[in-house]
Amino acid sequence: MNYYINWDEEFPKHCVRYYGWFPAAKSYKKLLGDKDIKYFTLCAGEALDIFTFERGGILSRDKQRKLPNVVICERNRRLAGQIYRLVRPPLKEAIIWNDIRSLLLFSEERVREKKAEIESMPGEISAEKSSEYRGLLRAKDQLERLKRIFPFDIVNFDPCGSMLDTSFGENDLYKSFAKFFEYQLEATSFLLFLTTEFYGINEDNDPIFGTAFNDNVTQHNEIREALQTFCEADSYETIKEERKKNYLGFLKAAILPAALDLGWHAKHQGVFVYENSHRNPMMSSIIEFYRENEVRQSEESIDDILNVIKKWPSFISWDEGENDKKARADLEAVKKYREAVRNEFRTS
Amino acid sequence: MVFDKKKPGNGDIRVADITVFQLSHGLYRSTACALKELVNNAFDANATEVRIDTNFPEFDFISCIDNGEGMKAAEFERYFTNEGIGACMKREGGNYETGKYNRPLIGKLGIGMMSMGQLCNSFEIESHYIENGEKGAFHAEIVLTDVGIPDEEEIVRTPDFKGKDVEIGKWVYEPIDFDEREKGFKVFSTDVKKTFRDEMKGGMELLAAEGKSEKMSFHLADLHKRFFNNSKSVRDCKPYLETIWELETLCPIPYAEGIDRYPINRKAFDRSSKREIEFSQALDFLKERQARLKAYNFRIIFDGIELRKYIQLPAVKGVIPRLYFFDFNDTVYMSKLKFAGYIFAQASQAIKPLELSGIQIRLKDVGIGAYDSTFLKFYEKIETIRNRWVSGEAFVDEGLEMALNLDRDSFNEHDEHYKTLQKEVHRKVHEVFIDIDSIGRAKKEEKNKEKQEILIEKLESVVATHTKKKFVIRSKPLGKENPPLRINESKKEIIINTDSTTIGKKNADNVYRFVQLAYEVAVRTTQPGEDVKPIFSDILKTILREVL
Repeated sequence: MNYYINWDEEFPKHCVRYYGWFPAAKSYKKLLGDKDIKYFTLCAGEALDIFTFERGGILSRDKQRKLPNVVICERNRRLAGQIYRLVRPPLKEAIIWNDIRSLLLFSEERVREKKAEIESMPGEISAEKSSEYRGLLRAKDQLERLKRIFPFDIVNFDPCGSMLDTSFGENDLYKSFAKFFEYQLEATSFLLFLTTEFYGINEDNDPIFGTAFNDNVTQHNEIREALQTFCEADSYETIKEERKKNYLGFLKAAILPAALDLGWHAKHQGVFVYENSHRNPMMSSIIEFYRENEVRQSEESIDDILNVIKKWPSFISWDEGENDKKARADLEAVKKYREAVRNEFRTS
Repeated sequence: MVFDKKKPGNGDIRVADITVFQLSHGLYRSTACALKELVNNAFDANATEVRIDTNFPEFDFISCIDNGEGMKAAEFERYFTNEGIGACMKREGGNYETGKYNRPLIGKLGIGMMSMGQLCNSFEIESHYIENGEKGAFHAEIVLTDVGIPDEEEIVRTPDFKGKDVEIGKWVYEPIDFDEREKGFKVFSTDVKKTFRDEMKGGMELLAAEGKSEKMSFHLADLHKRFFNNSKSVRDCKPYLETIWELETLCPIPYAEGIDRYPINRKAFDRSSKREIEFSQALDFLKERQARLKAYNFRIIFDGIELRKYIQLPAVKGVIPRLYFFDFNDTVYMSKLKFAGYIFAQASQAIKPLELSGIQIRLKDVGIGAYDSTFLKFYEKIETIRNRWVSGEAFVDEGLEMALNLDRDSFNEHDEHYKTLQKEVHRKVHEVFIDIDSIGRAKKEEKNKEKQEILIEKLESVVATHTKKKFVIRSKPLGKENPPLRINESKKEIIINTDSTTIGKKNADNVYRFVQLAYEVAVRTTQPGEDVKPIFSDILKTILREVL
């Protein structure tokens, strides 16, 4: 059993980086002007996103050749070390190693409960002796650290697992995603790359998606018309293209409410469904969130949904990814660049 | 055997499992000493690279990853299910070398990995290895502190404690797929002890308060500027940097590049010193040692910094350096003892950083303990200031291992090999102290002479000014018993007694002489009826201000 996927050889994923994430990040950086981009990522051991952006001038190293504006969260303890050595993260915060779920969904109540539970055990046992309790304290400390660094300009929310394999209302990954918006409140805009497994979608989600999307269809003629023109459908249930259907449902029922509730509204810049090396579909969407007055906000969301209906998602099969010469060449160049950085730090 | 208190008897002496408890929870003097054990394991496993990461500056993660031969599943089984911690197989069959890169085998007890227990409450290991052509890999978690695992105090308080079958932790083993790229041994933990974290972070907070942590460099040479230029002691640089320093000093890695500068800065020696036989012997020895350390092909990368021994003697200007050599190769107590080394001395300033003063004993190129500033308890002459002028290293290539204590950080001082080493070091140190003492004294005399000349010059000027140039001022030795001033009215000449105005400690005698001098000049140069007090006071003030 291998611990992790070799991301260096996940070719369709790099197509998403190459055709989706990188151009979007580049435009966003241009929009922000001279400001240094503050980047949050769940980047895995190979850190290809970081090196793609660094190579493309979106992230830059300081005089000590560190990336002070990159914050990495990694749950795999072994990989945390690997990333640290490879990326040389910010001086002050280093890598936040923990599961994004444990971190963002941390609650003081859980700490109190655990403490009480241990101290009620027979004998005089200090709560600090419990590895579980120590783990909770660490999560608390790490969340405090992370909170101090918010908000980010670009967020790569690319965790292991699925937001859709359980009813998303009960899904910890979804809950932590929604929590992220709270911590981003101080920003006026940010760019999000949201990735999740796009298979094994829990049956409970379908009616929720349907209800949410059909509300739009009944209330907005333009959505109904677009649906008829581009999908030959007049309701969520009749959309034939499964990937589009699922994404529209997920967008309407999960992504937009999490953002709109906190005053953000969305502008999609791409939605990709791609196959991983196990030939399972993955979804990655690129969305710019920003704040405007409430009237426009409502209008813009409709425009955004229309955009999604008309243009996306793009599908990249494993074979397509493997045979995409441009993206493959870029991947090789990024790996070469990463190796050069690694060699630079090999000796001091 | 059954013990019967009413009958004579005999038997084997056994060790209770409780003693093992201590091994797994910390034997080591410092963080660097604990990490050194992990590095030694990597060295013995023929790794060419070992990487240690602490997630600086948070220190909530420790990992030590090497690319060596890994721990075999059979070894894990031996440690954790059969014979227990300390059941080392490294030297099975009389192995004294690792089999590659001409490396001597360092470990012998098999407790090195457990040094993680000093820094963490629990840790994980992962190994990818090839054994007799067969590939294998496993991952395991070792928990030493958790609810349900008793601590030492609990164990000994247990009413029916028998000393055996003591549970000191829990392990979980899981076979995993072999991955060629992951070949080697990894030990890592996120369950870092609070004490470790606080210690390291505490230092960082101080640096941050001084605005220095922002400037923290990850180039070894830059870090060392702090040790050499800004601090008397490595301890001034706070625990994190101290750990780096200690680790590089202890581990079997080469000196910093440029053998003409590290560890001995040849440029600082004058021609006559360079012509000394011992100078050449010591340098030849260090050249050979550096070549050997390089041939080990072993790198340590600590938080991205490749470590090298950054020892530079002298590191300061304006000293008179000397270099001495010693070696020993003989049979002691029926076994071979072989060592050699150098001693460096500089007159008349303390070695920088302070931690280098003393002698470092290296057993198979691994530092045992820190530099010993007592020179292995050199009692013949309890030195104070001059101890700080001397630094040396003794490399023991054969023997002495039986003297090594369990913590691999100190020696059993009653071991015959240790006694011999001690005797040889003392013999050499004695020579060095005599030599450096005379160099120091000569240097001091020369310096005093220079100061004396300046003093006399100043006195002549002061006296000339106050006598309104009516006298010719000369200086010559008239004997210590004579007053500081002789005035020859007829020749209109004042002679300053240089014997009576020597540079030395500003003791009462010296002050008295200056007062006397001021008085003599005042009395002899005032006109009859003129008040002597203001002139005396003026001269004395000038002399004291100019001279003292």
